[in-house]
Amino acid sequence: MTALRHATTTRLRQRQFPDFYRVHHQPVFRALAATLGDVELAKEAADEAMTRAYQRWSTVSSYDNAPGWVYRVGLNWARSRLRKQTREYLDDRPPDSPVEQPLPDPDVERALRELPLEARTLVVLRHLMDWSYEEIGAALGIPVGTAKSRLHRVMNELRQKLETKR
Amino acid sequence: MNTEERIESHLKATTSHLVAEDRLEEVMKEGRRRQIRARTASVLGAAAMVALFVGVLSVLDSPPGDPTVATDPTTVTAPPETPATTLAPEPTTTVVPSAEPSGVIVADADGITVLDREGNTLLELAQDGPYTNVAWAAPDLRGGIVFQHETTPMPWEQGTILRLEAGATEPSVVVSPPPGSGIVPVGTGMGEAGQALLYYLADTPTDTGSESRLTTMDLDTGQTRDLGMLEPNTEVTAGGPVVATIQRGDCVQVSFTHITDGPISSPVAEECLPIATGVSVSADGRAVATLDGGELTVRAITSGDTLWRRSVPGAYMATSGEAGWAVRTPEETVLVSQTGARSLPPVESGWVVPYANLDVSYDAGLGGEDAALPCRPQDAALPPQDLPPAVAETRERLAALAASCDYDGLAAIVETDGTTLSFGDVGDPVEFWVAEGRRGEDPLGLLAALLTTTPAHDPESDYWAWPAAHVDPSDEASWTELEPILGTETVATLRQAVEGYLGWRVGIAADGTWWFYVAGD
Repeated sequence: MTALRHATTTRLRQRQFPDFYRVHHQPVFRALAATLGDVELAKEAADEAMTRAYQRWSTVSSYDNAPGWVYRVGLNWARSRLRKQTREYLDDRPPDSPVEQPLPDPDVERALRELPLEARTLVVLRHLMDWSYEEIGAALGIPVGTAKSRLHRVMNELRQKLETKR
Repeated sequence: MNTEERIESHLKATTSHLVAEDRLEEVMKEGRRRQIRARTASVLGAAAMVALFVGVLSVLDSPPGDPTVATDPTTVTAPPETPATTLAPEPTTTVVPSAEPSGVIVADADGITVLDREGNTLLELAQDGPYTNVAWAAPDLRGGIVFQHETTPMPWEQGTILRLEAGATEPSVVVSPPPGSGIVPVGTGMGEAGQALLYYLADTPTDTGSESRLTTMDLDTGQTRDLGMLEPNTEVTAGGPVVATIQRGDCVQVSFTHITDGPISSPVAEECLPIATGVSVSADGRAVATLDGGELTVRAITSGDTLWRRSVPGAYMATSGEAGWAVRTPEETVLVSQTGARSLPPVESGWVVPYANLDVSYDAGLGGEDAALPCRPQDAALPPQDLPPAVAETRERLAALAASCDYDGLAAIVETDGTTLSFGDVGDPVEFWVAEGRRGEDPLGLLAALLTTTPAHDPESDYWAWPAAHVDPSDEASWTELEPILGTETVATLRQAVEGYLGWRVGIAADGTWWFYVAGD
């Protein structure tokens, strides 16, 4: 799966920004929605990040994980915007669910909401985007080992919470 | 189902139905606009590129008066009191191509400014030297700008017409007047074979005064052609391959000449227009615009038919250029084309001309690659330092990018890491650094140099800072290290700050995030 995605990414590098956008816009948006818990903010963040990617496409297209770069830019942009709006709840207050329908697993939703943003980001990239540690590291600008150890800690925490609720 | 599977299942179930609108076109449009803002004024309006049509410039001195220009009864005229910015397109006979102008070039004492159709500043060529005190400018129809100074700076001859070609970093000479002579630019225009033509008057002193010869130059080949002597008290304007000569007596009379085919028969030439009428030949040389009483009327030269007209209350000057006219009033500059009107900020003095396609490098604003580039590639060698791997990696990346003047690469990191570059609003990092460069700073060179100094670790916030004096002002060795980089006087000044070192410094967090590159507090 990862190898296929790498191959796809490599091919996309050879192509144009519209191809990249069509393949990665929705996944990045969904990842941002899951991370931020705000669908509208996620849409704006994805648009902004894609705009910046297009603006510097010659550079961004050469990245190992260009969609990861877009995700990270979108996330930083959203955080910055929320800070400017003095709505600094991301780290302190759990976000709303990205869905307005019955949650398939309320316990998981609650546990994710209780995570700090950085930890939630790791979980979303790993378990929604199916990214490898290498891809997560490249996306977040952290060493692979750091991504691995942090995610390990977060998953342990989640495991404890969820298993005690069973 | 284990925890990982539960989480994965939940995340996919809660997001799989979410769909964001496809905004590819808007994203690319905005991206292009930002590219332009950051470094070029280019490629606005793809349609305009297809149908370039070029008018030549004519200064029209038209105080308000009665709108008595000839009209076509089939043409609907917008009410004179309607604000120019809200005018609706009028029915037309399609003769003038409907390409849209992308904005205007403004030339004045401060330099050359390129505005887009919304009035946003895309590019400022305002550095001392090549671009100060510009009296006239026009698109060169190849993505660049031709211009002439009010007073031409050294080393060029007085009155020289210069050209900043697309992508060039400095202007080159188009034509210089012989000693004792003068050159008056008329405008640029597209020839029938697609040549980019520059029209100008060559003024030569004679025993009885002076004579003006109208000349056209092919900007691609440099070949010139003498179009003949201009009669005294005659004005001239041109568009495409057509020259219009204007004589003002009891009224205004206009005659038209094709530069290769000779005189053109036109009903307009048989009319006696109000004395205050301004005249301007359209881009393709097929239409003529007259401005009188705040009304711009565009007519076919050969038939005399009114093609369209627009009311621009208070208009006193109209200049034709690529794809339209810039009409000036005391309150606004109205960018007028066949299909619409846009309100731009007023230009009190100087020259305004529409453009359709520009591709002028922002480097040009720095006065040429040898004059004042804010960054010069340098040796990227870094002394080894005892740092955590993530910090060391970021340090090496930053130093390499800075040493190679890779603005884009650094800007990309700023965006991903949320790097603080200023305690104020920075906007685009590239623009910020270029602006710093214009103020005499060398932000990228300094970044590379600072990263060669000894760092210090701030345990409280867990980051590394270059130079160490920022974390530990008592570190004498750090201050000494800074002297060859900042200069002894600057270092002495910085040492007076009670808060410690507040000059340019770099911060990298323990996880490798580039936290800041700032100065001041």
